[in-house]
Amino acid sequence: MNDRDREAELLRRAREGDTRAFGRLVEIYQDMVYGLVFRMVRNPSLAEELTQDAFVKAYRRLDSFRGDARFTTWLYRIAVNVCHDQRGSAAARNRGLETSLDASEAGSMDPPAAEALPDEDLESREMAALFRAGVNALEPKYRAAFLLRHQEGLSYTEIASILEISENNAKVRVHRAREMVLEALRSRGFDV
Amino acid sequence: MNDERKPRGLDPRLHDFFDGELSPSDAAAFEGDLRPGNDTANQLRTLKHLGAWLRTTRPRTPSSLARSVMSRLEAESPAGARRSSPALRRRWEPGSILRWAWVPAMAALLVLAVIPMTRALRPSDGTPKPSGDAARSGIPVAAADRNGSDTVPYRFTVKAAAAGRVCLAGDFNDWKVCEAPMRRVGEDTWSITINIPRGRHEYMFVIDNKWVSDPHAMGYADDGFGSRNSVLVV
Repeated sequence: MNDRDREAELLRRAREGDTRAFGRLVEIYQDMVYGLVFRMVRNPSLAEELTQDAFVKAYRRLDSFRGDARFTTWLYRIAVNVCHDQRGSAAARNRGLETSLDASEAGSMDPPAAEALPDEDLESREMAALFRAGVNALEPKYRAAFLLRHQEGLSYTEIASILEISENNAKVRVHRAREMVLEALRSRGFDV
Repeated sequence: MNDERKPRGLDPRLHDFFDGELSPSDAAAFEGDLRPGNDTANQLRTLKHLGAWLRTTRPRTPSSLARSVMSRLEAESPAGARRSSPALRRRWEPGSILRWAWVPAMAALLVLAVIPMTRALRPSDGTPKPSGDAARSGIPVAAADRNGSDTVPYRFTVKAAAAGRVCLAGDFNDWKVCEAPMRRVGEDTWSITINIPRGRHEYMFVIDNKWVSDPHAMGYADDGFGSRNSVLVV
């Protein structure tokens, strides 16, 4: 049984109410969803809460998943929507989301050991901080497109499906995000 | 519209090169134009490093996350759980007075939902067949007879004159596309009668491999992908 068959079997059992099967799906995809949500909202506790929300929402709506798209695409879509939905919420405002991002990220994510790529530029903690600032400078809709492309490695077709936009618009959004990131790095003195 | 703004300051070939969308000859020409230290070379290098950094420094997922999700699901009341899965409902039922207490209430709701519909559609002689209007307009028609089990025979109809193949897919058959092929029953109408569990269901017609909502469904539910599944309650 390959991964797709195993996923289909877990989905079938989860639809029938087997919460353990759904729990297995959560285990399989939690890193994927949390990784995206964290970099979307840039706050560890909020990211954990929203990732939970995304999975709970997915479970409630399993009957709506027809299987004509990949399950991961469907999950990404729910996760992105959960992130967008929380932006104006009282919970987000109470957390001071937009003002404490750099501090929360610097303290809790991307352990130094994981950041040390075998490349002299990336060995620098300053470079990691610069990259983080560049991504954080993106407006949410551009950040989502940029992360789906460059962090998650998705095709423009998949990004378009997740963001509910045309494939051409997905491409334009990623291109524009690249330009914005480079501008943000340039404004911080990076020669690019 | 912001999305239509042209990216500024980048060699337009950089995006296509980065995305692997340049032809081999164009890619070679682009690489030939790169010089150490020039803007495009720096931008390309920076974007490559940024992408590598994003992929290799993913945040650590909290170890309690999966457990927290499952705790939330287990703690939810039946009303908050997926209501369209009879199997799930059965899972929530045993072992609790509260869990048993909602069963008759739900049963009463289902009866209230089904009786008016079946009465309206039942011909005067009581024979369980669809009304002509309903069949012509593609409204799913509930059979009046019940077989005494947890399932109800249900007739689905849809108009698709030019179609070569029409199937029914729904949560009741795990959305298997052609497990339930429909039969042409008139010049432009397709039909199928299947036994489905009592309760709320989501379904779609698959007309020549294209997913289509029932235009006469009892209701609709967002499918999470920008279109709507059809909803029925039996």
